[in-house]
Amino acid sequence: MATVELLGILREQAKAAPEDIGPAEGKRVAEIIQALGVPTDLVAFVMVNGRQQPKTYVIQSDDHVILIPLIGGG
Amino acid sequence: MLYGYGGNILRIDLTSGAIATEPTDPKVAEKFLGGRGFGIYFLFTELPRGADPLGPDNLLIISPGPLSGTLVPGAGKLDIACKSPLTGGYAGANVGGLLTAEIKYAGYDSIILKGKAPNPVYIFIDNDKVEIRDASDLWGKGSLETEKILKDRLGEEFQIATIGPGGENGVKYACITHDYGRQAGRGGVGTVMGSKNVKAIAVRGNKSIPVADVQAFRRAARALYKACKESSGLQVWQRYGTAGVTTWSNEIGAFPTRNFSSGQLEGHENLSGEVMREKIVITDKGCFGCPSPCGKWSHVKKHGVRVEGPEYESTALLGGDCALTDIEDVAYANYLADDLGLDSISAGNVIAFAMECYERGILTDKDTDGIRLTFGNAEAVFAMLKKIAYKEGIGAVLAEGVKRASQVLGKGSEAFAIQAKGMEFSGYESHNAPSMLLSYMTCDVGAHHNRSWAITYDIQTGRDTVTPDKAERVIYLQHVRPLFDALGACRLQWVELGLDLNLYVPAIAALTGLERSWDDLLKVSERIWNLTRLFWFREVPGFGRAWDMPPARFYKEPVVSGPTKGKVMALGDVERLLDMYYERRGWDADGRPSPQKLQELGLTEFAAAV
Repeated sequence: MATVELLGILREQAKAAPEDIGPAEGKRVAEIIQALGVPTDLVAFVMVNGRQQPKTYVIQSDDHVILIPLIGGG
Repeated sequence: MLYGYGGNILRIDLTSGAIATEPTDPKVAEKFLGGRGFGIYFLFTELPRGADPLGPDNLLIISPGPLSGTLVPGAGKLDIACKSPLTGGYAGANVGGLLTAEIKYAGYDSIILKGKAPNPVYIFIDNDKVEIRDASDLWGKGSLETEKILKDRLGEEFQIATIGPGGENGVKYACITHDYGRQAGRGGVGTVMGSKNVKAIAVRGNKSIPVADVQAFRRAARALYKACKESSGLQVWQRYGTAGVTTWSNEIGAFPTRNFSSGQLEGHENLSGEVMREKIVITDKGCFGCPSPCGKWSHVKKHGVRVEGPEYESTALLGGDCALTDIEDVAYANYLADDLGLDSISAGNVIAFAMECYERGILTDKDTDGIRLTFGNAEAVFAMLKKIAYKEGIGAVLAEGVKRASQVLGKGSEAFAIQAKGMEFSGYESHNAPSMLLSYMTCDVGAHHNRSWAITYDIQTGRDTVTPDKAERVIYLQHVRPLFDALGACRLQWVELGLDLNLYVPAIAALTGLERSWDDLLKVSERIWNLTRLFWFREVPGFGRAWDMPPARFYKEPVVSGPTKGKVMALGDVERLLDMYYERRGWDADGRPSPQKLQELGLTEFAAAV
């Protein structure tokens, strides 16, 4: 099963938790971001299994998706 | 005992050959910390007013900070200051690598070069042994080759900083290169080094740094390292370095494209961090004491070279702004800029400006000696970098930077000469990012992101709104980020890994023996910022508000494509932003620090010289 993790300020800003938005498999990362209620422009990096992917990436079963903001310096 | 410092200021007069040291003044250390603080302090107090930036009176001030060379993570930053030949005001450039630690271990908190050597020389520093040595055989060689020759000659323990042909030939944005790919890039510090006939500086040191409370310092430094290693951001930053930002920057329309006319490059996917990692990166490369090495060492097979990078900024300006879409072409342009000794940010920006001039017919084939200077033409970028470094043909005009070049070329080109205070913008398209635009407008060296990087604040608070909190945010960042440059450490552990700034407080206290809160340290940073502003007023005739304004492109010409298409700020909003900023800084309507602000910061005595 694919898992989705939010980091930093994204965790605070999300309107839903990853476990509450249904299975992630087969969806684009952008759809997941929208379902979580996170401002998409705040998601600077999408890491899937340790590799950066675009928000158009379609999530596969067993993927581990981490959404990372870029806030510290800004 | 001055804890946390090398303990000495080294002065080298290149005209007379005189070499002298003096103890570092504890009062100056307390008031200005070190690094960037020492740079502006010595520049302000010792540079003759109105000195020619390329004349013997200019100073080149090379300063580690108190944290440099210590156990604190990322303690590898060095500040280099002078009067800028590009802007006529203050230049302060920062470089990582291993040199800052070596200078500190040799016992120096600043190395101050003045005068001009009669022949090409390099500076040899082996602890207390300091010599001015002949460099006739090195003059004319590239930055990278020069470093290799000196390493072979002196030994790997020596850390080397060099200039390339750009610095020798007086290109106004020449850089100083160290560790085969780290640059003190901005404002022409390499130009000033070249004007003094100094090709390189080689340093070895093996003294220790006195620490006020060794056990407490070890505990505080370990806490910082632990926080770095536990940071979830480490996986991104270590794999991609700053190149990881490229995809996001395009998504939000902030990637400078075709001379800042757009914020998204078609084909940008080919420049992403992942493509770079897969295609050209050989290994990670960190600076002194770095737990999160963001440098990437790359093999560019297509062009047969190896290069550090490209960093995001080089990809943004040599890539996006010139519309190149092959990471190997961008990496090769980066290599050329490095070896020729040119600031890759200014050089990319300048070439993009020239491309727009060419496409508009302001420059013709006759001007370019037949080079088709169109956006996306990689061969033209390579050729122009060489023409600029050697000041051949149109290269001589472009070697002056976009502000002067646009004044020479005319025909309305000033409107799209993307600069503030005479320095070319770095890698964030800011039509639809008020805080970021204000950051560029008010940066103390010219349009650089180093002092305030506020685009995420615009995203959080609204990219179309002009509100006082944006000015406050920029001011806050202009105090935090340069504080790292004064301390001699890297800010990226905070920026990228999200370290709690309060973790630095006990480390600095245990190192120096001076208990200071983070707010106390920010006050030092504000002092440095205001002294730098006074320097501009003292050195630049007519300096004031007009120098903080961006080019007309940002308030007259809407973005032509991408997610921010059609966006442009109204001139009135730009002016309002500046008013808000001045008011919150305690400056008057022309941007001059008020007597009250100067008194509050202990700068009244300096104001008398302005």
